[in-house]
Amino acid sequence: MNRLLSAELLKLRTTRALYVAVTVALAFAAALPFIIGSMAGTGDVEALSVRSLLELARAPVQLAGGAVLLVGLFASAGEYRHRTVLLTRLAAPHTGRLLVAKLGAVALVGAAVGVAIDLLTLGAGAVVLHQHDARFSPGSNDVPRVLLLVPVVLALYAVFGLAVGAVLRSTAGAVGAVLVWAFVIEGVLPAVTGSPHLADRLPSGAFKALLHHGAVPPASAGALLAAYAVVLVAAAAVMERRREL
Amino acid sequence: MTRLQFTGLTKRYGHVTAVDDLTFSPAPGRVTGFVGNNGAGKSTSIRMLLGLTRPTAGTATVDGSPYADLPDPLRAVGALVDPNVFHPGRSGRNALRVLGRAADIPAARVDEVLGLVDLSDAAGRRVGGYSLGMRQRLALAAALLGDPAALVLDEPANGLDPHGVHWLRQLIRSLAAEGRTVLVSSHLLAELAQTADDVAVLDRGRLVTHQPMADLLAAAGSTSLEDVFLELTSPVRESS
Repeated sequence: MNRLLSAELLKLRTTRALYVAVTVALAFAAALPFIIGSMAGTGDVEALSVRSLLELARAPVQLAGGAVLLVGLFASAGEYRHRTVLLTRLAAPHTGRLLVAKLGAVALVGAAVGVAIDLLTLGAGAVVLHQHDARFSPGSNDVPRVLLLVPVVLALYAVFGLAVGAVLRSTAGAVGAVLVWAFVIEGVLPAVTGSPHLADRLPSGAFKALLHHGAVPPASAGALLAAYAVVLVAAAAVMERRREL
Repeated sequence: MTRLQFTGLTKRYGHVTAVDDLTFSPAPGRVTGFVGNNGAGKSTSIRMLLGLTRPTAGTATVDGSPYADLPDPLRAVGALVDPNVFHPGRSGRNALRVLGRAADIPAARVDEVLGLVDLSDAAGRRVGGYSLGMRQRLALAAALLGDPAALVLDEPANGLDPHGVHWLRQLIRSLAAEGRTVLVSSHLLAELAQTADDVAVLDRGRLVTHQPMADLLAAAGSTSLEDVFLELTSPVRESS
């Protein structure tokens, strides 16, 4: 298993997609505190305070999540697009072990990006809060919990991307499906079913709920996300096992 | 010595039978040519042997085991199924490093096989810039990476220039001379006649004959594998 994990990590490191996605995520995370700081105290936007670090820690998660989701998606669907899946399966004919190795590799990348984003947020946040004469207090106001969860959330985004890519095989199709799901279905479903609270229980809402204290408690949101991940990974495992090349 | 064995191998896609009760075993230490028209079932048979496609019936095994059960598949069988199996953004060397890492093959072996297929100078370039012949050589390097006891090559001469074809013939002969089992599928019958010791002919999924090349030609009273092949097989009518 270690050799497969190592091979999957090497695969990710030897193509541009990883670097583009990670660069975008990190650049956004580094710039966001300054952007938020530049708007703070103007118009209706509140001035920065000791509590602002919590918002700064949560702010880059969605876009960074999208970036690592793409990393996961390309790691699976990209194999079919470039037909590299043939060589991969010759070296690792057991599809279950291969899927676990791929999940491990993209989850590690997601978690590593999460740690880097935390560090960037803390660094940039300290500067911005200092500029605005607000106290920098990373040990208070739920900040430690959110900082710990960011790598977990990004690892989950990568796992979701990998599973969706493995199910659909087409990179364009998988990107389209994710966009339709996130921006159309998750918006329409609560209205259609007449259950506005459903939005908090669908994947995007659950990711948000995990980092906030809202209608859905973070623990429940975490359990929901774990359930979504299990379902998606199980579907990917079945598809990979059945698929003929 | 590794024994490849096809036993009653059958593959149906709906009402179409791609491979029909195929039973034969390429002999170790010899080059077996695997010939047939387009759609005769050669590639499907090879993919079933390699665990890429599931048989409808029968088995295809490597030393008695399905490919998927081999503890070290790349060391047992080296396979070339398609030259277009590399990420265009990855260098030739990195493509093989990934494969070697998955099979626990030392990195030094990557440069060794790149040298063997004459790609050392291009190893650092992205595969997207390779010609078809270079991709074919890289695919051959991938097949040789595990120093396998058996080789299964599907149209290995595709895209090679005359020098490349000559080089490939010598390589295949030398690999068989080392005791490896070599199964080569090809449409280049004149070329195959110079390379193969044995020949297995497929026609519409069924094995027509499997015997030594010399015996086949002698029995037909011909010196041309192409003539014998045309006698043994029916033309494929492609639907418009």
